[in-house]
Amino acid sequence: MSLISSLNTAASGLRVASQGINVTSHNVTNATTEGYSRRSLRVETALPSTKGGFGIGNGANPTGAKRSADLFVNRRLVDAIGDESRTASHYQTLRTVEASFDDVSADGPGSLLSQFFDSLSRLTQDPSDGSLREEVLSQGTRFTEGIQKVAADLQTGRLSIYEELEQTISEINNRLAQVADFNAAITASTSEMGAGDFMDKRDQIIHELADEFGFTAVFNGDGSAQVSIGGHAAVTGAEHRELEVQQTAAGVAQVDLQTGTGSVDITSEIGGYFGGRLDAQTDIVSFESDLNDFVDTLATAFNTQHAAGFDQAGAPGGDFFTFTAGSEAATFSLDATLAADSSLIAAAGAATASAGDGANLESLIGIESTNLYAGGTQDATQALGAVYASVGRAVATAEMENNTASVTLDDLSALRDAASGVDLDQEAADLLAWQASYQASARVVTTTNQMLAELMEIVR
Amino acid sequence: MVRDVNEILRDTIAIAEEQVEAARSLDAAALTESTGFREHLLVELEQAVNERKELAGAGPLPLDTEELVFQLAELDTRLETLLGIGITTIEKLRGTSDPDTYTFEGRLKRSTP
Repeated sequence: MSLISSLNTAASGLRVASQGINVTSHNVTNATTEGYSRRSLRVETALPSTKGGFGIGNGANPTGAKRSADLFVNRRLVDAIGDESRTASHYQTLRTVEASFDDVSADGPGSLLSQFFDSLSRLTQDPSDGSLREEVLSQGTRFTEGIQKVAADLQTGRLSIYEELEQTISEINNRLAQVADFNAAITASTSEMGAGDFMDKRDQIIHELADEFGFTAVFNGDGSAQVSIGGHAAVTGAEHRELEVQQTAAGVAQVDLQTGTGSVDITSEIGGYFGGRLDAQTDIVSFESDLNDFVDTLATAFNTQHAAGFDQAGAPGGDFFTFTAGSEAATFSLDATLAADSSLIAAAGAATASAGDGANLESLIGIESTNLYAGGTQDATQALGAVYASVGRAVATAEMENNTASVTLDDLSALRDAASGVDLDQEAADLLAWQASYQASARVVTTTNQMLAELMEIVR
Repeated sequence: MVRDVNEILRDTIAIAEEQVEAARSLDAAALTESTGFREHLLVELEQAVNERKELAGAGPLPLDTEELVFQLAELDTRLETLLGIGITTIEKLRGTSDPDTYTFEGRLKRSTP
Protein backbone atom coordinates (compact mmCIF):
# COMPACT_ATOMS: atom_id res chain seq x y z
CA MET A 1 0.00 0.00 0.00
CA SER A 2 1.36 3.39 -0.98
CA LEU A 3 1.71 6.30 1.41
CA ILE A 4 -1.07 8.16 -0.44
CA SER A 5 -3.40 5.15 -0.01
CA SER A 6 -2.65 5.04 3.69
CA LEU A 7 -3.44 8.72 3.98
CA ASN A 8 -6.74 8.19 2.15
CA THR A 9 -7.64 5.38 4.50
CA ALA A 10 -6.75 7.48 7.51
CA ALA A 11 -8.76 10.36 6.06
CA SER A 12 -11.85 8.14 5.80
CA GLY A 13 -11.37 7.30 9.49
CA LEU A 14 -11.21 11.01 10.19
CA ARG A 15 -14.49 11.54 8.35
CA VAL A 16 -16.12 8.79 10.41
CA ALA A 17 -14.77 10.21 13.65
CA SER A 18 -15.78 13.79 12.84
CA GLN A 19 -19.26 12.61 11.80
CA GLY A 20 -19.36 10.73 15.11
CA ILE A 21 -18.59 13.99 16.90
CA ASN A 22 -21.31 15.78 14.92
CA VAL A 23 -23.92 13.15 15.72
CA THR A 24 -23.03 12.96 19.41
CA SER A 25 -22.84 16.77 19.70
CA HIS A 26 -26.20 17.05 17.94
CA ASN A 27 -27.71 14.55 20.41
CA VAL A 28 -26.22 16.29 23.45
CA THR A 29 -27.20 19.78 22.23
CA ASN A 30 -30.78 18.68 21.59
CA ALA A 31 -31.13 16.54 24.70
CA THR A 32 -33.69 18.96 26.12
CA THR A 33 -35.33 19.90 22.79
CA GLU A 34 -38.94 18.79 22.84
CA GLY A 35 -39.74 16.30 20.11
CA TYR A 36 -36.08 15.60 19.21
CA SER A 37 -35.30 12.04 18.16
CA ARG A 38 -31.86 10.60 18.95
CA ARG A 39 -29.49 10.09 16.00
CA SER A 40 -26.99 7.30 15.64
CA LEU A 41 -24.12 7.19 13.12
CA ARG A 42 -24.50 4.90 10.12
CA VAL A 43 -21.15 3.72 8.68
CA GLU A 44 -20.37 1.64 5.60
CA THR A 45 -17.04 0.13 4.58
CA ALA A 46 -15.59 1.83 1.51
CA LEU A 47 -15.15 -0.38 -1.56
CA PRO A 48 -11.61 -1.85 -1.51
CA SER A 49 -9.09 -1.25 -4.31
CA THR A 50 -7.68 -4.26 -6.11
CA LYS A 51 -3.97 -4.43 -6.79
CA GLY A 52 -2.12 -7.51 -8.05
CA GLY A 53 -5.03 -9.74 -7.07
CA PHE A 54 -5.10 -8.36 -3.52
CA GLY A 55 -7.89 -6.27 -2.08
CA ILE A 56 -6.62 -3.17 -0.30
CA GLY A 57 -8.94 -1.56 2.22
CA ASN A 58 -9.99 2.03 1.65
CA GLY A 59 -11.42 2.82 5.05
CA ALA A 60 -15.00 3.62 5.84
CA ASN A 61 -17.52 6.25 4.92
CA PRO A 62 -20.24 7.72 7.11
CA THR A 63 -23.49 7.38 5.16
CA GLY A 64 -25.80 9.31 7.42
CA ALA A 65 -27.37 9.68 10.79
CA LYS A 66 -30.20 7.29 11.57
CA ARG A 67 -33.19 8.93 13.30
CA SER A 68 -34.33 6.79 16.21
CA ALA A 69 -38.12 6.98 16.12
CA ASP A 70 -40.96 4.50 16.46
CA LEU A 71 -43.61 5.47 13.89
CA PHE A 72 -46.35 3.46 15.66
CA VAL A 73 -45.62 5.11 19.00
CA ASN A 74 -45.40 8.51 17.28
CA ARG A 75 -48.82 8.05 15.71
CA ARG A 76 -50.40 6.81 18.95
CA LEU A 77 -48.75 9.72 20.73
CA VAL A 78 -50.33 12.21 18.33
CA ASP A 79 -53.77 10.69 19.11
CA ALA A 80 -53.09 10.58 22.86
CA ILE A 81 -51.94 14.21 22.98
CA GLY A 82 -55.20 15.20 21.29
CA ASP A 83 -57.29 13.11 23.69
CA GLU A 84 -55.56 14.43 26.79
CA SER A 85 -55.81 18.01 25.64
CA ARG A 86 -59.47 17.61 24.72
CA THR A 87 -60.48 16.07 28.02
CA ALA A 88 -58.39 18.59 29.98
CA SER A 89 -59.96 21.66 28.33
CA HIS A 90 -63.43 20.08 28.60
CA TYR A 91 -62.89 19.52 32.30
CA GLN A 92 -61.36 22.97 32.92
CA THR A 93 -64.15 24.76 31.06
CA LEU A 94 -66.83 22.84 32.97
CA ARG A 95 -65.05 23.60 36.24
CA THR A 96 -65.40 27.30 35.42
CA VAL A 97 -69.10 26.82 34.62
CA GLU A 98 -69.62 24.79 37.78
CA ALA A 99 -68.38 27.75 39.83
CA SER A 100 -71.44 29.71 38.61
CA PHE A 101 -73.72 26.97 39.94
CA ASP A 102 -72.81 27.70 43.54
CA ASP A 103 -75.70 26.36 45.55
CA VAL A 104 -73.95 26.18 48.88
CA SER A 105 -73.92 29.89 49.68
CA ALA A 106 -77.01 31.96 50.41
CA ASP A 107 -76.55 33.67 47.04
CA GLY A 108 -77.04 30.50 44.99
CA PRO A 109 -80.25 30.25 42.92
CA GLY A 110 -81.44 27.27 44.99
CA SER A 111 -81.22 29.29 48.23
CA LEU A 112 -82.71 32.36 46.57
CA LEU A 113 -85.67 30.27 45.35
CA SER A 114 -86.36 29.11 48.92
CA GLN A 115 -85.93 32.63 50.31
CA PHE A 116 -88.42 33.98 47.75
CA PHE A 117 -91.09 31.45 48.69
CA ASP A 118 -90.29 32.02 52.39
CA SER A 119 -91.03 35.74 51.89
CA LEU A 120 -94.42 34.78 50.41
CA SER A 121 -95.11 32.65 53.50
CA ARG A 122 -94.28 35.58 55.79
CA LEU A 123 -96.66 37.78 53.76
CA THR A 124 -99.54 35.43 54.61
CA GLN A 125 -99.25 36.63 58.23
CA ASP A 126 -100.42 40.08 57.12
CA PRO A 127 -101.01 40.52 53.37
CA SER A 128 -101.76 44.20 53.90
CA ASP A 129 -98.32 44.84 55.42
CA GLY A 130 -96.42 47.05 52.98
CA SER A 131 -92.98 46.11 54.29
CA LEU A 132 -93.73 42.39 53.90
CA ARG A 133 -94.92 43.07 50.33
CA GLU A 134 -91.70 44.98 49.64
CA GLU A 135 -89.73 42.03 50.99
CA VAL A 136 -91.47 39.71 48.49
CA LEU A 137 -90.44 42.04 45.66
CA SER A 138 -86.92 42.26 47.04
CA GLN A 139 -86.56 38.48 47.32
CA GLY A 140 -88.16 38.01 43.89
CA THR A 141 -85.63 40.42 42.40
CA ARG A 142 -82.75 38.62 44.10
CA PHE A 143 -84.02 35.27 42.81
CA THR A 144 -84.42 36.43 39.19
CA GLU A 145 -81.05 38.19 39.30
CA GLY A 146 -79.45 35.00 40.63
CA ILE A 147 -80.89 33.05 37.69
CA GLN A 148 -79.82 35.81 35.29
CA LYS A 149 -76.26 35.68 36.63
CA VAL A 150 -76.00 31.94 36.04
CA ALA A 151 -77.44 32.41 32.52
CA ALA A 152 -74.99 35.26 31.83
CA ASP A 153 -72.06 33.15 33.03
CA LEU A 154 -73.15 30.30 30.77
CA GLN A 155 -73.52 32.67 27.83
CA THR A 156 -70.11 34.22 28.51
CA GLY A 157 -68.56 30.75 28.66
CA ARG A 158 -70.25 29.76 25.40
CA LEU A 159 -69.28 32.97 23.56
CA SER A 160 -65.69 32.84 24.84
CA ILE A 161 -65.29 29.53 22.98
CA TYR A 162 -66.26 31.18 19.68
CA GLU A 163 -64.06 34.22 20.35
CA GLU A 164 -61.06 32.05 21.20
CA LEU A 165 -61.57 29.98 18.06
CA GLU A 166 -61.84 33.12 15.94
CA GLN A 167 -58.55 34.44 17.36
CA THR A 168 -56.71 31.14 16.93
CA ILE A 169 -57.89 29.95 13.54
CA SER A 170 -55.34 31.97 11.53
CA GLU A 171 -52.54 30.54 13.69
CA ILE A 172 -53.83 27.01 13.02
CA ASN A 173 -53.90 27.77 9.28
CA ASN A 174 -50.29 29.00 9.49
CA ARG A 175 -49.22 25.77 11.13
CA LEU A 176 -50.95 23.67 8.47
CA ALA A 177 -49.04 25.70 5.85
CA GLN A 178 -45.78 25.10 7.77
CA VAL A 179 -46.36 21.33 7.77
CA ALA A 180 -46.90 21.47 3.99
CA ASP A 181 -43.67 23.48 3.59
CA PHE A 182 -41.72 21.00 5.72
CA ASN A 183 -43.16 18.10 3.70
CA ALA A 184 -41.79 19.73 0.57
CA ALA A 185 -38.39 20.31 2.21
CA ILE A 186 -38.19 16.72 3.51
CA THR A 187 -38.97 15.07 0.18
CA ALA A 188 -36.48 17.41 -1.55
CA SER A 189 -33.71 16.96 1.05
CA THR A 190 -30.66 14.93 0.07
CA SER A 191 -29.15 14.93 3.56
CA GLU A 192 -30.45 12.40 6.04
CA MET A 193 -29.40 14.58 8.99
CA GLY A 194 -31.11 17.64 7.47
CA ALA A 195 -34.31 15.72 6.63
CA GLY A 196 -34.34 14.34 10.18
CA ASP A 197 -34.23 17.87 11.59
CA PHE A 198 -37.07 18.95 9.29
CA MET A 199 -39.05 15.89 10.45
CA ASP A 200 -38.50 16.75 14.11
CA LYS A 201 -39.69 20.32 13.59
CA ARG A 202 -42.64 19.22 11.45
CA ASP A 203 -43.61 16.49 13.94
CA GLN A 204 -43.51 19.07 16.72
CA ILE A 205 -45.99 21.24 14.76
CA ILE A 206 -48.16 18.17 14.11
CA HIS A 207 -48.13 17.44 17.84
CA GLU A 208 -49.25 21.02 18.48
CA LEU A 209 -52.02 20.66 15.88
CA ALA A 210 -53.08 17.39 17.50
CA ASP A 211 -52.88 19.04 20.90
CA GLU A 212 -55.01 22.02 19.93
CA PHE A 213 -57.33 20.69 17.24
CA GLY A 214 -57.11 16.89 17.25
CA PHE A 215 -55.52 16.58 13.83
CA THR A 216 -54.21 13.10 13.07
CA ALA A 217 -51.20 12.26 10.91
CA VAL A 218 -50.14 9.46 8.62
CA PHE A 219 -46.43 9.28 7.77
CA ASN A 220 -45.64 8.26 4.20
CA GLY A 221 -42.69 6.29 2.89
CA ASP A 222 -41.11 9.39 1.31
CA GLY A 223 -40.97 11.07 4.72
CA SER A 224 -43.93 13.40 4.14
CA ALA A 225 -46.90 13.47 6.52
CA GLN A 226 -50.60 13.61 5.67
CA VAL A 227 -52.54 15.58 8.26
CA SER A 228 -56.29 15.11 8.46
CA ILE A 229 -59.29 15.66 10.66
CA GLY A 230 -62.34 13.41 10.74
CA GLY A 231 -61.28 11.79 7.48
CA HIS A 232 -60.85 15.14 5.72
CA ALA A 233 -57.30 15.87 4.55
CA ALA A 234 -55.92 19.22 5.70
CA VAL A 235 -52.33 18.69 4.49
CA THR A 236 -51.32 16.39 1.66
CA GLY A 237 -47.71 16.62 0.53
CA ALA A 238 -46.91 20.28 -0.08
CA GLU A 239 -50.60 21.34 -0.24
CA HIS A 240 -52.80 22.46 2.64
CA ARG A 241 -56.40 23.57 3.16
CA GLU A 242 -57.60 26.42 5.36
CA LEU A 243 -60.08 26.44 8.25
CA GLU A 244 -62.79 29.04 8.84
CA VAL A 245 -64.86 29.73 11.94
CA GLN A 246 -68.34 31.27 12.12
CA GLN A 247 -71.04 31.82 14.70
CA THR A 248 -74.39 30.15 13.98
CA ALA A 249 -77.77 31.77 14.58
CA ALA A 250 -77.98 29.77 17.84
CA GLY A 251 -74.80 31.54 19.03
CA VAL A 252 -72.52 28.52 18.84
CA ALA A 253 -69.19 28.24 17.03
CA GLN A 254 -68.94 26.29 13.78
CA VAL A 255 -65.65 25.39 12.06
CA ASP A 256 -65.49 24.71 8.31
CA LEU A 257 -62.68 23.19 6.26
CA GLN A 258 -62.27 24.72 2.82
CA THR A 259 -62.19 22.15 0.06
CA GLY A 260 -61.81 22.42 -3.68
CA THR A 261 -65.58 22.36 -4.11
CA GLY A 262 -66.66 24.50 -1.17
CA SER A 263 -66.50 23.85 2.54
CA VAL A 264 -67.37 21.09 4.96
CA ASP A 265 -68.50 21.47 8.58
CA ILE A 266 -65.92 19.71 10.77
CA THR A 267 -67.06 21.07 14.16
CA SER A 268 -68.03 17.65 15.48
CA GLU A 269 -64.72 16.17 14.27
CA ILE A 270 -62.51 18.61 16.15
CA GLY A 271 -60.47 17.10 18.98
CA GLY A 272 -57.64 18.34 21.15
CA TYR A 273 -57.96 21.49 23.24
CA PHE A 274 -60.67 23.03 21.06
CA GLY A 275 -62.50 19.69 20.84
CA GLY A 276 -62.77 19.84 24.62
CA ARG A 277 -63.91 23.46 24.47
CA LEU A 278 -66.56 22.52 21.89
CA ASP A 279 -67.63 19.54 24.05
CA ALA A 280 -68.07 22.04 26.86
CA GLN A 281 -70.02 24.28 24.45
CA THR A 282 -72.45 21.40 23.83
CA ASP A 283 -72.77 20.89 27.59
CA ILE A 284 -73.30 24.59 28.18
CA VAL A 285 -76.04 24.74 25.53
CA SER A 286 -77.69 21.80 27.32
CA PHE A 287 -77.42 23.55 30.73
CA GLU A 288 -78.86 26.73 29.22
CA SER A 289 -81.73 24.76 27.76
CA ASP A 290 -82.46 23.06 31.11
CA LEU A 291 -82.33 26.40 32.92
CA ASN A 292 -84.61 28.03 30.32
CA ASP A 293 -87.13 25.20 30.67
CA PHE A 294 -87.07 25.60 34.44
CA VAL A 295 -87.69 29.36 34.25
CA ASP A 296 -90.38 28.98 31.59
CA THR A 297 -92.32 26.42 33.63
CA LEU A 298 -91.93 28.25 36.95
CA ALA A 299 -92.71 31.73 35.61
CA THR A 300 -95.66 30.56 33.50
CA ALA A 301 -97.23 28.64 36.40
CA PHE A 302 -96.59 31.52 38.83
CA ASN A 303 -98.01 34.15 36.44
CA THR A 304 -101.11 32.02 35.79
CA GLN A 305 -101.79 31.65 39.50
CA HIS A 306 -100.95 35.31 40.11
CA ALA A 307 -103.53 36.32 37.46
CA ALA A 308 -106.14 34.31 39.37
CA GLY A 309 -105.67 36.55 42.43
CA PHE A 310 -106.40 40.18 43.18
CA ASP A 311 -104.21 43.07 44.25
CA GLN A 312 -104.84 45.48 47.09
CA ALA A 313 -107.05 47.61 44.82
CA GLY A 314 -109.23 44.57 44.00
CA ALA A 315 -107.95 44.36 40.41
CA PRO A 316 -106.93 40.99 38.90
CA GLY A 317 -103.26 40.23 39.14
CA GLY A 318 -100.98 40.95 36.19
CA ASP A 319 -97.75 39.18 35.28
CA PHE A 320 -95.44 38.65 38.24
CA PHE A 321 -92.43 37.52 36.19
CA THR A 322 -91.41 38.37 32.63
CA PHE A 323 -89.05 36.64 30.22
CA THR A 324 -88.32 36.41 26.50
CA ALA A 325 -88.95 33.10 24.75
CA GLY A 326 -85.68 31.45 23.69
CA SER A 327 -83.60 33.19 26.35
CA GLU A 328 -85.84 32.70 29.36
CA ALA A 329 -83.16 32.55 32.04
CA ALA A 330 -81.12 35.47 30.69
CA THR A 331 -84.17 37.76 30.55
CA PHE A 332 -85.90 36.47 33.70
CA SER A 333 -87.06 39.36 35.86
CA LEU A 334 -89.97 40.81 37.83
CA ASP A 335 -92.65 42.61 35.82
CA ALA A 336 -91.51 46.24 35.76
CA THR A 337 -94.91 47.67 36.81
CA LEU A 338 -95.25 45.21 39.68
CA ALA A 339 -91.68 45.82 40.79
CA ALA A 340 -92.47 49.51 41.18
CA ASP A 341 -95.66 48.95 43.20
CA SER A 342 -95.91 46.20 45.82
CA SER A 343 -99.68 46.74 46.16
CA LEU A 344 -100.03 45.00 42.78
CA ILE A 345 -99.07 41.64 44.32
CA ALA A 346 -102.25 39.62 43.90
CA ALA A 347 -102.43 38.09 47.35
CA ALA A 348 -106.19 38.06 47.72
CA GLY A 349 -108.43 35.27 46.51
CA ALA A 350 -111.32 37.58 45.64
CA ALA A 351 -111.80 41.15 44.41
CA THR A 352 -114.02 41.98 47.35
CA ALA A 353 -111.90 40.29 49.95
CA SER A 354 -110.79 42.06 53.07
CA ALA A 355 -107.40 43.72 53.26
CA GLY A 356 -106.00 40.78 55.21
CA ASP A 357 -106.99 38.12 52.67
CA GLY A 358 -104.09 35.96 51.51
CA ALA A 359 -105.96 33.10 49.85
CA ASN A 360 -104.09 33.41 46.54
CA LEU A 361 -100.79 33.56 48.40
CA GLU A 362 -101.38 30.02 49.63
CA SER A 363 -101.85 28.88 46.03
CA LEU A 364 -98.72 30.76 44.90
CA ILE A 365 -96.68 29.17 47.69
CA GLY A 366 -97.99 25.76 46.63
CA ILE A 367 -96.29 26.15 43.26
CA GLU A 368 -92.92 25.53 44.92
CA SER A 369 -93.88 22.01 45.93
CA THR A 370 -96.05 21.12 42.94
CA ASN A 371 -94.59 18.54 40.54
CA LEU A 372 -94.63 20.65 37.39
CA TYR A 373 -91.24 19.60 35.98
CA ALA A 374 -89.75 16.55 34.24
CA GLY A 375 -93.12 15.27 33.11
CA GLY A 376 -94.76 16.01 36.45
CA THR A 377 -92.25 14.13 38.57
CA GLN A 378 -90.28 17.00 40.10
CA ASP A 379 -91.10 20.16 42.03
CA ALA A 380 -89.24 23.47 41.65
CA THR A 381 -86.48 22.70 44.14
CA GLN A 382 -85.93 19.25 42.68
CA ALA A 383 -85.93 20.59 39.11
CA LEU A 384 -83.34 23.27 39.91
CA GLY A 385 -81.35 20.61 41.79
CA ALA A 386 -81.49 18.37 38.71
CA VAL A 387 -79.93 21.16 36.61
CA TYR A 388 -77.18 21.45 39.20
CA ALA A 389 -76.76 17.69 39.33
CA SER A 390 -76.35 17.47 35.55
CA VAL A 391 -73.53 20.05 35.78
CA GLY A 392 -71.89 18.09 38.60
CA ARG A 393 -72.18 14.82 36.67
CA ALA A 394 -70.69 16.40 33.56
CA VAL A 395 -67.76 17.77 35.55
CA ALA A 396 -67.14 14.41 37.27
CA THR A 397 -67.27 12.53 33.95
CA ALA A 398 -64.94 15.04 32.29
CA GLU A 399 -62.49 14.73 35.20
CA MET A 400 -62.49 10.93 34.98
CA GLU A 401 -61.94 11.03 31.20
CA ASN A 402 -59.11 13.50 31.66
CA ASN A 403 -57.42 11.30 34.26
CA THR A 404 -57.62 8.27 31.95
CA ALA A 405 -56.26 10.25 28.98
CA SER A 406 -53.41 11.64 31.11
CA VAL A 407 -52.29 8.16 32.17
CA THR A 408 -52.33 6.95 28.54
CA LEU A 409 -50.35 10.00 27.42
CA ASP A 410 -47.76 9.52 30.17
CA ASP A 411 -47.27 5.87 29.16
CA LEU A 412 -46.86 6.72 25.48
CA SER A 413 -44.52 9.64 26.23
CA ALA A 414 -42.31 7.27 28.22
CA LEU A 415 -42.34 4.81 25.31
CA ARG A 416 -41.41 7.58 22.85
CA ASP A 417 -38.57 8.79 25.05
CA ALA A 418 -37.28 5.22 25.32
CA ALA A 419 -37.25 4.92 21.52
CA SER A 420 -36.19 8.43 20.53
CA GLY A 421 -35.03 10.39 23.55
CA VAL A 422 -31.43 11.37 24.12
CA ASP A 423 -30.00 9.80 27.24
CA LEU A 424 -26.99 11.89 28.25
CA ASP A 425 -25.72 9.05 30.44
CA GLN A 426 -25.88 6.75 27.44
CA GLU A 427 -23.97 9.24 25.28
CA ALA A 428 -21.30 9.60 27.99
CA ALA A 429 -21.10 5.81 28.42
CA ASP A 430 -20.60 5.42 24.65
CA LEU A 431 -17.73 7.90 24.74
CA LEU A 432 -16.10 6.14 27.71
CA ALA A 433 -16.41 2.76 25.98
CA TRP A 434 -14.79 4.16 22.82
CA GLN A 435 -12.01 5.80 24.80
CA ALA A 436 -11.18 2.69 26.86
CA SER A 437 -11.27 0.47 23.80
CA TYR A 438 -9.13 2.79 21.65
CA GLN A 439 -6.52 3.28 24.37
CA ALA A 440 -6.26 -0.46 25.06
CA SER A 441 -5.81 -1.18 21.35
CA ALA A 442 -3.18 1.54 21.04
CA ARG A 443 -1.16 -0.04 23.88
CA VAL A 444 -1.30 -3.48 22.25
CA VAL A 445 -0.18 -2.04 18.89
CA THR A 446 2.81 -0.37 20.57
CA THR A 447 3.82 -3.66 22.21
CA THR A 448 3.46 -5.48 18.91
CA ASN A 449 5.68 -2.93 17.20
CA GLN A 450 8.35 -3.50 19.86
CA MET A 451 8.08 -7.23 19.36
CA LEU A 452 8.40 -6.93 15.58
CA ALA A 453 11.40 -4.62 15.96
CA GLU A 454 12.95 -7.23 18.21
CA LEU A 455 12.26 -9.94 15.64
CA MET A 456 13.89 -7.89 12.87
CA GLU A 457 16.86 -7.16 15.14
CA ILE A 458 17.63 -10.84 15.49
CA VAL A 459 18.65 -11.18 11.87
CA ARG A 460 20.75 -8.01 11.61
CA MET B 1 4.57 -26.62 21.43
CA VAL B 2 5.23 -23.16 20.07
CA ARG B 3 3.71 -22.41 16.66
CA ASP B 4 5.71 -21.14 13.72
CA VAL B 5 6.36 -17.37 13.70
CA ASN B 6 4.83 -17.00 10.22
CA GLU B 7 1.64 -18.71 11.29
CA ILE B 8 1.29 -16.43 14.30
CA LEU B 9 2.05 -13.37 12.16
CA ARG B 10 -0.64 -14.30 9.61
CA ASP B 11 -3.21 -14.70 12.42
CA THR B 12 -2.08 -11.37 13.88
CA ILE B 13 -2.52 -9.65 10.49
CA ALA B 14 -6.08 -11.02 10.23
CA ILE B 15 -6.87 -9.74 13.71
CA ALA B 16 -5.21 -6.37 12.98
CA GLU B 17 -7.52 -5.99 9.95
CA GLU B 18 -10.49 -6.62 12.24
CA GLN B 19 -9.16 -3.97 14.63
CA VAL B 20 -8.86 -1.46 11.79
CA GLU B 21 -12.41 -2.20 10.72
CA ALA B 22 -13.73 -1.86 14.29
CA ALA B 23 -11.82 1.40 14.83
CA ARG B 24 -13.18 2.87 11.58
CA SER B 25 -16.78 2.12 12.46
CA LEU B 26 -16.43 3.29 16.08
CA ASP B 27 -17.45 -0.21 17.17
CA ALA B 28 -16.00 -0.28 20.67
CA ALA B 29 -17.23 -3.79 21.44
CA ALA B 30 -15.65 -5.33 18.30
CA LEU B 31 -12.44 -3.39 18.90
CA THR B 32 -12.21 -4.68 22.48
CA GLU B 33 -12.82 -8.25 21.33
CA SER B 34 -10.24 -8.20 18.53
CA THR B 35 -7.70 -6.53 20.82
CA GLY B 36 -8.23 -9.37 23.32
CA PHE B 37 -7.39 -11.93 20.62
CA ARG B 38 -4.40 -9.84 19.63
CA GLU B 39 -3.08 -9.94 23.21
CA HIS B 40 -3.16 -13.76 23.20
CA LEU B 41 -1.31 -13.82 19.89
CA LEU B 42 1.23 -11.36 21.30
CA VAL B 43 2.11 -13.72 24.13
CA GLU B 44 2.44 -16.56 21.63
CA LEU B 45 4.60 -14.36 19.36
CA GLU B 46 6.87 -13.47 22.28
CA GLN B 47 7.45 -17.15 22.97
CA ALA B 48 8.14 -17.79 19.29
CA VAL B 49 10.53 -14.84 19.09
CA ASN B 50 12.42 -16.06 22.18
CA GLU B 51 12.73 -19.47 20.59
CA ARG B 52 13.87 -17.80 17.39
CA LYS B 53 16.55 -15.90 19.36
CA GLU B 54 18.05 -19.15 20.51
CA LEU B 55 18.25 -20.25 16.89
CA ALA B 56 19.38 -16.85 15.52
CA GLY B 57 22.67 -18.20 14.38
CA ALA B 58 20.96 -20.62 12.06
CA GLY B 59 20.61 -18.02 9.27
CA PRO B 60 18.83 -14.86 8.06
CA LEU B 61 15.10 -14.29 8.58
CA PRO B 62 13.16 -15.92 5.71
CA LEU B 63 11.80 -13.44 3.15
CA ASP B 64 8.19 -14.49 3.66
CA THR B 65 8.50 -13.74 7.40
CA GLU B 66 10.01 -10.35 6.59
CA GLU B 67 7.15 -9.61 4.21
CA LEU B 68 4.60 -10.53 6.88
CA VAL B 69 6.34 -8.24 9.38
CA PHE B 70 6.17 -5.29 6.96
CA GLN B 71 2.52 -6.09 6.18
CA LEU B 72 1.66 -6.11 9.87
CA ALA B 73 3.67 -2.93 10.48
CA GLU B 74 1.75 -1.16 7.70
CA LEU B 75 -1.59 -2.28 9.15
CA ASP B 76 -0.52 -1.10 12.57
CA THR B 77 0.44 2.30 11.19
CA ARG B 78 -3.10 2.68 9.82
CA LEU B 79 -4.55 1.38 13.06
CA GLU B 80 -2.48 3.80 15.15
CA THR B 81 -3.62 6.68 12.96
CA LEU B 82 -7.26 5.71 13.39
CA LEU B 83 -6.89 5.14 17.12
CA GLY B 84 -5.08 8.46 17.48
CA ILE B 85 -7.92 10.26 15.71
CA GLY B 86 -10.49 8.41 17.82
CA ILE B 87 -8.75 9.17 21.11
CA THR B 88 -8.27 12.85 20.20
CA THR B 89 -11.89 13.32 19.17
CA ILE B 90 -13.23 11.51 22.22
CA GLU B 91 -11.02 13.64 24.49
CA LYS B 92 -12.36 16.74 22.76
CA LEU B 93 -15.92 15.58 23.37
CA ARG B 94 -15.38 14.54 26.95
CA GLY B 95 -13.21 17.48 27.89
CA THR B 96 -10.64 17.06 30.60
CA SER B 97 -11.31 14.66 33.42
CA ASP B 98 -8.36 15.86 35.53
CA PRO B 99 -9.27 18.19 38.36
CA ASP B 100 -7.37 21.40 39.11
CA THR B 101 -4.78 20.77 41.87
CA TYR B 102 -2.39 22.74 44.09
CA THR B 103 1.38 22.31 43.68
CA PHE B 104 3.83 21.98 46.58
CA GLU B 105 4.44 25.71 46.26
CA GLY B 106 0.76 26.33 46.82
CA ARG B 107 0.03 27.41 43.24
CA LEU B 108 -3.09 26.26 41.48
CA LYS B 109 -2.21 23.88 38.68
CA ARG B 110 -4.99 23.95 36.13
CA SER B 111 -5.73 20.86 34.11
CA THR B 112 -5.15 21.14 30.37
CA PRO B 113 -8.31 20.82 28.29
